[in-house]
Amino acid sequence: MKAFGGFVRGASLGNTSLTWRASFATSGGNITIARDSSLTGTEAASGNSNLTSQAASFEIGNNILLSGREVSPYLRLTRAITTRDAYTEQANSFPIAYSEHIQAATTATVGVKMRSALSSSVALRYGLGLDFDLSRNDASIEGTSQIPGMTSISVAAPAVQNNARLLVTSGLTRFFDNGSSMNFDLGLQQDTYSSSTTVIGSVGYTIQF
Amino acid sequence: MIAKQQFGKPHMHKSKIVNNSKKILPTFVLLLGTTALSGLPNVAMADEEMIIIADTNGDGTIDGTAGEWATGNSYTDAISPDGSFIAGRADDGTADRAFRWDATNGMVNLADTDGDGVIDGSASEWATGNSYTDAISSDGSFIAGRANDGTADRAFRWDATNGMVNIADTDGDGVVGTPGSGEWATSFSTASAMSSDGSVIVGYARDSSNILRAFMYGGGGVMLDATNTQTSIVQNASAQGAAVASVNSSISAIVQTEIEVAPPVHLNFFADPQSANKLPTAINIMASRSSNENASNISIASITAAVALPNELTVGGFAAL
Repeated sequence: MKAFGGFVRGASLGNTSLTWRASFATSGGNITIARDSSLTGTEAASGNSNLTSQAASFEIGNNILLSGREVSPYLRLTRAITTRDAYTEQANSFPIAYSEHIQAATTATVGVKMRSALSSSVALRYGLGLDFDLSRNDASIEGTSQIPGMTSISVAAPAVQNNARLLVTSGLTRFFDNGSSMNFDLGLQQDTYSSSTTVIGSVGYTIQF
Repeated sequence: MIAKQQFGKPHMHKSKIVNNSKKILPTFVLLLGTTALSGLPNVAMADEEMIIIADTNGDGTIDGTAGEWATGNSYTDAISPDGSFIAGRADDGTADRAFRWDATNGMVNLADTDGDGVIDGSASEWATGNSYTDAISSDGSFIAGRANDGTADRAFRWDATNGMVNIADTDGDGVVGTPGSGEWATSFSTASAMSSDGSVIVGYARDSSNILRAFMYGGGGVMLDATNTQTSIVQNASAQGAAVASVNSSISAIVQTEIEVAPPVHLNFFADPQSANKLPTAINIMASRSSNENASNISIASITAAVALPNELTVGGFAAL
């Protein structure tokens, strides 16, 4: 799966401390979906399909200097749509023909990002946010087969466990004299479809010229 | 069975005919006509012609020759919709044998593939014990039932090309339960019904825990546990939904990708075109991984580039794998 995107950030809306950002992203690729035979008396099957996603986001915030910290409360709207194309399995006995499956969600995020200098070359970043589902379309997974008693298949998509999800982020940026920097980030976010928490870690290197 | 209707047209019935008053129970069909059978007392007669299908030459005697092998009791189990084909079982003096009857070929012993009158236990004549029929396809090409291979009853499908196929013996090695073969119906299996075109058979079989489980059999040559197959499909579809949801969540996160670029300090972009080369630019490479105990773990490598423009604008783009 490959993803591409772009963004525009305005650091000062109308010569005020208001900031804004508009962004988009798209991803897509061919996927193989496999069904195993781990249960007794079942057959393995697999099929190829395309999985495509698009997302757009708009954020408005306010940069405030507060006790030596940069504090940026923000409000963000994000719309994401993911489509798995229709496909038919390759199976020896009973292949299943799946219909197109689409999931879409519109979420609003309110949060605050903060940044402070630990030293002349190290910055500490941290944030807190809360995602709210404004709408979510989790259609059933539909298909047909020649299996007796199962010629029409409709399986419910995962049930949403958390309509509101907490997001906590923290990170360090180390600046170097040559204008480059390294960043280390760690985030925790409540999962939409389970009671568990997703842990997100990243490391990056930035060079500016 | 063909019975005469009120207005004289034949009407088809699927039935078993059992005459308990005789030791030997020949299987028969009725055809329109007026000839009565002789020498077979207590056989119901009407103004139709009753044909004893085991009595191929119609001489009233079942003599045990190749064409009249069903010397013992015989029964019908299924009939094609147009009445052209009948499936049943008949005793050849050794065991009950599944048969197909039609007017051209007579009563054909399905277990006796080479037609030599002996079920020799070879790969093609594995049904050495009793065999029974349960269903026949609309055109009579396929018959399903069960047959004993000397160890247990096995569900079978018969057609003229492949003969009697033990559908519990997935790899066809003559042994049901070969490790790694997926052969789970080790002690008993039988067909119950068949689709009209013969492509799908359903039945039931005992698994290794001695529990009877419904099965289905299609073109792939594998006897599938019906319940487990349905469970597997539901689990797979549910996992698909979860995966799509995970991707949708990921793109919602990816779209937030952004890097900062220090603003131009001495830039006079519009006044001096040469200064365009001084637009501050940043490039970031990043590796990230998200982990969730109940969802997919996702690893992403990305490269992001951004340029700072006048008026405190930053424009950037990214690519991720």
